[in-house]
Amino acid sequence: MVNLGNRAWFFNVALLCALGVAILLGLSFGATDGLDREMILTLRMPRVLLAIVVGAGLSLAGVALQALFANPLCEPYTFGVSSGAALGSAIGAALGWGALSVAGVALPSFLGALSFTALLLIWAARIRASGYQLLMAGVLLSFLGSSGVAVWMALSDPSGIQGALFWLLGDLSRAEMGSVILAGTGVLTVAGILYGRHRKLDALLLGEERARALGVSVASERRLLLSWVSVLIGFCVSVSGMIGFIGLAVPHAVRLMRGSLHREVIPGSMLLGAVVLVISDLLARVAARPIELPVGVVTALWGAPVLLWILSKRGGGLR
Amino acid sequence: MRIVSSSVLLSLLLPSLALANSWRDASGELFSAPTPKPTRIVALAPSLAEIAGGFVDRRVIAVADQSDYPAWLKGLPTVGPFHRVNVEKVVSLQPDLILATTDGNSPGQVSALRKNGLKVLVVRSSTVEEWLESMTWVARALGEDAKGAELVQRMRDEFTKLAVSGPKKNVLLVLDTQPWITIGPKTLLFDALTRIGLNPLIPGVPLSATYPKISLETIWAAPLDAVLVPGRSPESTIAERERSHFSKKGVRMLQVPSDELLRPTPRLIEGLKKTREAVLGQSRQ
Repeated sequence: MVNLGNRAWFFNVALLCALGVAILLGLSFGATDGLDREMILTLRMPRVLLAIVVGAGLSLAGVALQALFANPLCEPYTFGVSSGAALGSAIGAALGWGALSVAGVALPSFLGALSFTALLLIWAARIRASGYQLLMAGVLLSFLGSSGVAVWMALSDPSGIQGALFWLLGDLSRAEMGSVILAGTGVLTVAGILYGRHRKLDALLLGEERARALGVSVASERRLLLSWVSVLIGFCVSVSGMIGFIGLAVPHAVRLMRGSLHREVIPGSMLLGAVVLVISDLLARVAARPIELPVGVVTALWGAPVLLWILSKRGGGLR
Repeated sequence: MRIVSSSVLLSLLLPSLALANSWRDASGELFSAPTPKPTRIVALAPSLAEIAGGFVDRRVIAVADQSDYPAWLKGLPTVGPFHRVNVEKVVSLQPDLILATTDGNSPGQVSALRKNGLKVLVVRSSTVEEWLESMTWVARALGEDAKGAELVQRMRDEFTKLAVSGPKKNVLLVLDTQPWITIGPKTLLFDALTRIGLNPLIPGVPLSATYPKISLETIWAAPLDAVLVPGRSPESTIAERERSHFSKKGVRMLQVPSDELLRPTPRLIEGLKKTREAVLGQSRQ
């Protein structure tokens, strides 16, 4: 008889080993040849660590959102939280607050993410929105945020657009230890909260009706978890811009390998997300050196084919 | 018989006389200088407004946003930012000459203006020679050939005086830091800085690049003598971590002129003089 606990242990150890290799590669290679100690410690180290934090955070957010709405298409950018962050960043830049940050976390984008979540949750509480309504409202907020950013870009000086565009496509080059510590604390805190509620996430994944039948207070649980997930996404987006596909593809890949129990999906997705982002960032740094590619472009380039492969293997379901 | 041969000669000469003030502009279209001299000129880039404003007085009727030199241009109606002008507004002004550039104006918008029957001169300034040629073209299009020839000769003489021989100083001209963007070999400024004793080529940057985005690692590893920041203080532009790295390596961080250096206008000479003075000091001038 196969011990399921051992299997999970082996899976996570394998991912930890993969992460170790990814970190080693990320520190050893970059835009320049040679191993300059100062460059490794000052530039590559914070960057690799931030990739671990953001990769884990975005994957965790994807896991939670897909379970909260029992919808395989949910990801960190579905709910307008990231668009809120982007709009916050645009407004900050327009008002000259673009450089405002606390330990490397861009304040305008973080506040933008939280404002959009607050808007969504207040609206949902007022009309007692169903999961479907909440999802639709999130998608609409996402469009609203994107349109706001597009207006800003249309009115801006072209020199400012370059930086904004790079940020919108994901950028880990601004990593510093402060942002790693702050975002890392945020990710670990939310991971602890979500892991503590893994059984409720399992129930929610079965759909609203079944979750209620299993004694889960769907609306309040959703509000609570959505708030925490929004904080998580706000941290990730404000330190790295918008990095797509990790939050969508990684949870699906882990569910394909390990099944749907969140006790396993949460740590597995966080580790795999970290590995994937560290490797993607390495590719972004070396593929066209000395020019750097936006990391969001790299994740989308591999993410789309991988997701197609996953879909062809298991269909569109989550369970 | 004499009348017939004279007519034949005249019919052969007339088109070539007309072509004498026609040329293929930077968009590849045949451009004929308007006659009589244009009086309703619209400049679609601040640099073109500045060049035209130096040749003619008050014949420029509208300009792109940020056209602020010479000062009288500030009072003119604007047609939007140079990278996306308001075509409808330009057409409504009924200009008899529009000045455009390949370095920023949209080819689609230029084509739309031409389809509306408007005369558009497109210039390019990606090398010093093209920059001088663009000023000649603008002068010819305005019917100010002599002023153009005089200005271009003066610019050539100034450039000769600015030329510096001997080893070049490695510099990084910073256009942006998020991400880091500099000038590539396919730009006027790169060509101009190279001629005055500076080397703005960052190792690894392709020779075909115009405004490459460079990774921070590449900048850290580059053997630099100076980092040049146009128009802003290095303290307000470069992050503390990078400033500390440059200081440790003995790389000087210098503020250099902005518009004088970045706009392809006659003021470029002044910008280059100040930049050379900042980097090389008085000794090598």
